[in-house]
Amino acid sequence: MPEETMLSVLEDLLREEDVLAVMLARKNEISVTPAPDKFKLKDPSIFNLLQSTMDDFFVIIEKFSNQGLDRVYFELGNYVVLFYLIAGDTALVSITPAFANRGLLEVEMENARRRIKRLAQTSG
Amino acid sequence: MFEASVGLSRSWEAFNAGEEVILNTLEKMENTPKFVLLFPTIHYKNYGGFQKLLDGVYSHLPSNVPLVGGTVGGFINPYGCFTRGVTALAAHYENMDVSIGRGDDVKKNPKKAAEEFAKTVTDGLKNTHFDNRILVSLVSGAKVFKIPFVGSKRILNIPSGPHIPLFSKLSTMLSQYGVARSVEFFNTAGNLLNDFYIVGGETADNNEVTENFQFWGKEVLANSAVGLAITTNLTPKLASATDALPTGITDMCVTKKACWDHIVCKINNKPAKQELMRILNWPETFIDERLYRRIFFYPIGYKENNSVRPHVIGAFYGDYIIFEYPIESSSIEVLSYSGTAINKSFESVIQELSKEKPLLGVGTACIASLEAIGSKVYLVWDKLKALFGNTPFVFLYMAGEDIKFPSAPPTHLNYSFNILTINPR
Repeated sequence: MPEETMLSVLEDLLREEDVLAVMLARKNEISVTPAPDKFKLKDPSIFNLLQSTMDDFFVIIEKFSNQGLDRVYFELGNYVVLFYLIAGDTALVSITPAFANRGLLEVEMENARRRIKRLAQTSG
Repeated sequence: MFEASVGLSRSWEAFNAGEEVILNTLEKMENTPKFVLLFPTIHYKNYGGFQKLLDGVYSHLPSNVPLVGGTVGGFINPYGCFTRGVTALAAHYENMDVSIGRGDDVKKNPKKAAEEFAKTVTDGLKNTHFDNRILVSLVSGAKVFKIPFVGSKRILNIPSGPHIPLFSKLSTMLSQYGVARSVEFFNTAGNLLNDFYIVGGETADNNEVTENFQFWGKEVLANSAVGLAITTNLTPKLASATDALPTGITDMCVTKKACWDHIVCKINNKPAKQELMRILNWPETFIDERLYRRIFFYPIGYKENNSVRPHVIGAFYGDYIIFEYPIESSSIEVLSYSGTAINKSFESVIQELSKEKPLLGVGTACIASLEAIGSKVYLVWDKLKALFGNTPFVFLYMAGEDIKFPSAPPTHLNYSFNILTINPR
């Protein structure tokens, strides 16, 4: 079995039918993302906007992280953006269709988050 | 000595997943299993197909080992919670006889399927000497109607009339896309298998309700019931609780039904959809293809044997409300469903089983609860791990749950939480 990496976890999550785009966003650092040509977004500008504003999101996220902020969701037109925090400065972010079965998808988001946490612990 | 094992594969490709899950199961066993239960999620349909999955399993499993299974919305096992992948449970024990049952064409003729099913179960156990009887029963669930030139739709704004129940009946019986007639199946099968503890339910997909499959040995089935029957000298225990809670909205009388009681045409002598919207104080714009995201938090229920039976609304065609399962009473009420309700029922089942030292566990819950709690399902995992410790278990999210205690009537449930354990003598 090939060795698991952050990128392989993201690529695995991206194979989920309703995960249209995904990234591991890190404050003040370059995000880890699968190759954009693997994304299933009809409008890639949403992802680009999200990627370019991540540092602004982290300013807010950090303010709430002491209060136990764990996940953030928001609807963006026909999409839902899911943030699963891994630490105050790292988040697993995915874009899904607004019509997706979010509860079922969340389970696999959580599995991806757990795998990334394990990788971060072993590499750290 | 009793031994059991649970395997898992997260491989995307069907054949690889079949190989991996069975190797992962067998490597923890010293003996050849007496049975294997197999539960994949629906996505293998698009990654090689379920026949490839079974081929992968039987590439390492002796062909004389009985296997049954079916697609589920998700599952919990000792390794975690998953809505993609496949899990297997296998066991070996000298003092245990095994039989696998099968009944076909459940939606066409559920009674006949139940009789075939019960006969195959009992025929396989004719010579058993063990008194305690356990059955894991898996039956094809509902599939959204496939309408010519329209496709699979949950909301159809069409004129109401007798053509809707007529189409629903014909589609269910001829193409086997339609309402789940599994309640009729289970009532008959359960009565014929009166001395069994039964746990199981309706096979499912990812809650799109478009396809679901059952497995019987090396065969993939689409509209059947399959079951694993065990007789043993070990002690079974079954615990069950329902999640849905009353809202106090009870002034609802079903005044016209059709299609084996799956279609409610009128409530309080008014068109059913409009009357339900009025009672819930919802605008009709809420009724769109995202129906499940909203309506499954408000199941419709009725009282039966001192408990309330919740039912999921499946579709709205014209003014009619279509239910996956039959509405068997004229006096109905609106129930509510929430994380709090799920937690309450879950705690009561765990509490009931907490004094046992199980050797094996099989649980079921409604896929709606997985939709509702999402990744918080890991709280359920924590509790199941605490209950089972190192004991192998699988917990399945299904499209409806069926249970039965010996000498008690068979019970079809939605929004429930059920666990069957096998315990030392």
